[in-house]
Amino acid sequence: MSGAQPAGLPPREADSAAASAVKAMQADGRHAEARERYAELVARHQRRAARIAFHYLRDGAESDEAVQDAFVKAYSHLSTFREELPFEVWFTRILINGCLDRIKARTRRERWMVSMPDSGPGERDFAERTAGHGPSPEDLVLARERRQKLAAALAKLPDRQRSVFMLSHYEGCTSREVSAITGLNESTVRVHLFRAIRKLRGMLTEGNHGAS
Amino acid sequence: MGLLNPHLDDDDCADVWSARLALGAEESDRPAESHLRKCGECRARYADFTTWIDGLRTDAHAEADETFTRDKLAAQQAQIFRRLESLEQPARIIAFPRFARPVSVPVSGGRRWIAAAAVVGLITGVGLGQLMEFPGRTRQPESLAQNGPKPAVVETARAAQPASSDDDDETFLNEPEVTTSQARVPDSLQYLNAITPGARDYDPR
Repeated sequence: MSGAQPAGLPPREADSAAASAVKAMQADGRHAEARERYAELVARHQRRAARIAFHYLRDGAESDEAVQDAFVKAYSHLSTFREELPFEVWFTRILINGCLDRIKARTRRERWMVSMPDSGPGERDFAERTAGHGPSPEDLVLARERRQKLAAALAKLPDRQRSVFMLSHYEGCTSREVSAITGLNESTVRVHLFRAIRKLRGMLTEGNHGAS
Repeated sequence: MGLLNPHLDDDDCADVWSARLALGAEESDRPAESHLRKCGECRARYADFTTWIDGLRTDAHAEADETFTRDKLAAQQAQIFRRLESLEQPARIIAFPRFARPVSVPVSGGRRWIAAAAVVGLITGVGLGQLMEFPGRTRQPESLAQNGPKPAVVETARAAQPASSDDDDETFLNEPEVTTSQARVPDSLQYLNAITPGARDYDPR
C-alpha cells in the first residue's frame, strides 16, 4: 500500500482515524476541512484502486472513471461507514461493485456494437521506449505477449475465482479480508483461490509446453 | 503427491501456496508441508512455482502502472476533488420551458428602420385615405343618379354622331351651364339663386 500516513499509526488505524475525522467534519458542516482530510485517504489508496480497476476493466479511461466514482461515492456515503470494518475493505467493496456494474453494462453494449481492435499501452509507447535505455524491443514484445495471455486466462475464470485471486495475490489481502470484501466465507475463499491458481497454471503453461 | 509418489506436483504446489497466502503465513496446515521441509527437489519445484506466480503479479502491476502514471494519478485526484466540491454546491434550478427566454435572431439596425418606416407609411396612408374625400369618387354616383343616362352611354352616342354643325358645338359648350340651371335648387335657397347672376346672363360684348 502506498501513500502518506500519520506518523506512529499503522495504515489500518490511520485510515480509520482519517475516515472518522472526515465523517465528524461532514456532520459539522466543515466541508472544506473534510475534503482536505479525505485527501489523505485518496492518496493512500489511489494507486491500489487504479490497479484493481484496471485488472477488472482492462481499459485506462474506464478504470479512471471507476476509481473516481468509487472515491466520490465513498465520500458521500461516509456516514454509513462502520469503524469496526477497515476503510480499505469497505472502499474496495464499493470499487469492485462499480467495476462489476461497468462490466455488465459493457457486455450489454457489446451485444449491439462491433468493437475495434485495441492497441495496448506497450504498442503506443513502443518508439519512445526503444529510443533510449530500458528493456529491449524483444523483451517488450515478450512481456506484452505474456500480459495478454494472463489477461485472457484471467478473463476465462469465473467472477468469484477471479476476484479472490486478484485480491489475494495482487493486493495481498488475507482470506479474512477477501471474505469481508466479497461476502464469501473464509473456507470458500481458500477453495476459490486454489481453483483459480490451478486453472491459471493449466491455461498459462499449456501454451508454453505446446510451443516448446 | 500420493503413496507411490510422495513428491509435489503442480496441484500440490498450488494447494500449499494458496493455503499460505490465505493465512498470510510462512507455513500452512497442508499435508504437503511436511514433505516440502524434507525434500530439496520439491522445495526447488515449489520455488519455481512461486517465481512463476509472483511473475504474474509483477506483470499485472507493471501493466496497470504503465497506464496510470504519476501524472495521470495527479490529474485523477484533482478531478475527484472537483467532483467532491461540486457535490456540496446547491443545485441550480433552470426554468423550463415557461420562463425560458425566447430565442431571437439578431436583426440589423438598417432592416429594423426600413420595417418601421414601412409600417408608419402604411398606417398613415390608410388613415389619410379614410379621412380624405376624393370629389370624383364621391360625387359621381349622385350625378349619375340625377342625370339619368350613364356617361359611357352618352359618350358612345356622341361618338356615333358626326360633330359637324355649329349648333352642336354651341350646345356642347353650353351643356354644363344647362345642366347647372336645370339642377334642382332647394326652396330655402331660391331667393339667393334668383339674385345671383348665372353664366347665361354674362355677355362679354
